[in-house]
Amino acid sequence: MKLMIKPIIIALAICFTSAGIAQNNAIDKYYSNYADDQRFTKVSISSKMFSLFTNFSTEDANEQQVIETIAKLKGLKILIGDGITDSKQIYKAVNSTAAGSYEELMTVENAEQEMIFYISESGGTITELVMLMYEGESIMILSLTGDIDLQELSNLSDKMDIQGFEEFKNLKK
Amino acid sequence: MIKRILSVAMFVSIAFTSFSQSNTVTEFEKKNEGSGYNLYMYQSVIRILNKDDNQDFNRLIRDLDYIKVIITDSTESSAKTEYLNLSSSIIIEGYEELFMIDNKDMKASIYEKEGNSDKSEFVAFVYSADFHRTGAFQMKGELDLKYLKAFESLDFQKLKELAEDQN
Repeated sequence: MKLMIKPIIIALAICFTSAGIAQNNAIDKYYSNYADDQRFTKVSISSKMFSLFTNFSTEDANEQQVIETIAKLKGLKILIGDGITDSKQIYKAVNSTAAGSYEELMTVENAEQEMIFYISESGGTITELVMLMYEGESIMILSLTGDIDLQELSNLSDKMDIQGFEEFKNLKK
Repeated sequence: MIKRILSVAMFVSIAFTSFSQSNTVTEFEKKNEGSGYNLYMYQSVIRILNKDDNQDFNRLIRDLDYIKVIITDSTESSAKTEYLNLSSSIIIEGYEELFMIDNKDMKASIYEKEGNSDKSEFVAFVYSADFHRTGAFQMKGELDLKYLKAFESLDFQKLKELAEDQN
């Protein structure tokens, strides 16, 4: 199974069109390190952009739920690398950094890929979700901030084909 | 596909405001006068792109003054440099980056600046390595996003013909 880079970018570009770019977290270091590396695709979206979704309304209940989920987000940063020969080393380094800053939520491993999710909580609310994914010469680092409901993100993955987020279905409430 | 989606995302993103033109965009426009590709569409023109005579389409654009698109006619290296210069210049002007995607094939970004009124100012830039071009996209007025679905009634074929007529 090849890492589905384009669908991820497409889905996230549609969904998360706004940016909490002022994130200052453990992932920022890597985002900055690879800012000029053309092997990587960089995406960042600010809180203002997400807040634009509050202007949308629709009569379709499913669509409205998607809009409301997105409107609660504050920021998104994604770093996607393809053809990265040292992707495993990068993955391990980011993983090590994240482990010291976040609470591990879930790990998914199979013969082809590794995926790990971290969260940061405040007052019982998940305020940041970090997702690391590694497969062969591909790697993805994602940081999502805001008022995050994992179940809602899982539902979003059904509608928007966001790889990885469907794993939240396996979490027990 | 991703380019089309990004275009729509940008279209939506900057649809919330009327904005005065930034110096960066003005200079870019002057620099590319007589070359490249420029498209200006006032509301009256946009209305004729309503292929289904969809009343919601008219509601969608009723507060829209015009759309302006400026695209360079340049080499690969100069187009990329142009994009980077525009991105730097707009930040110096005090705009805040809202959205950015950057890879070897394309770069795109949207910027916002709080205006004197309660409305903000937005500008978007796109660079395509495939087409060796950089573009600026600007919209004056507002879209009524309750009717965003009516965007489906936009006649892309007629839009293409209009664009060819203007250039």
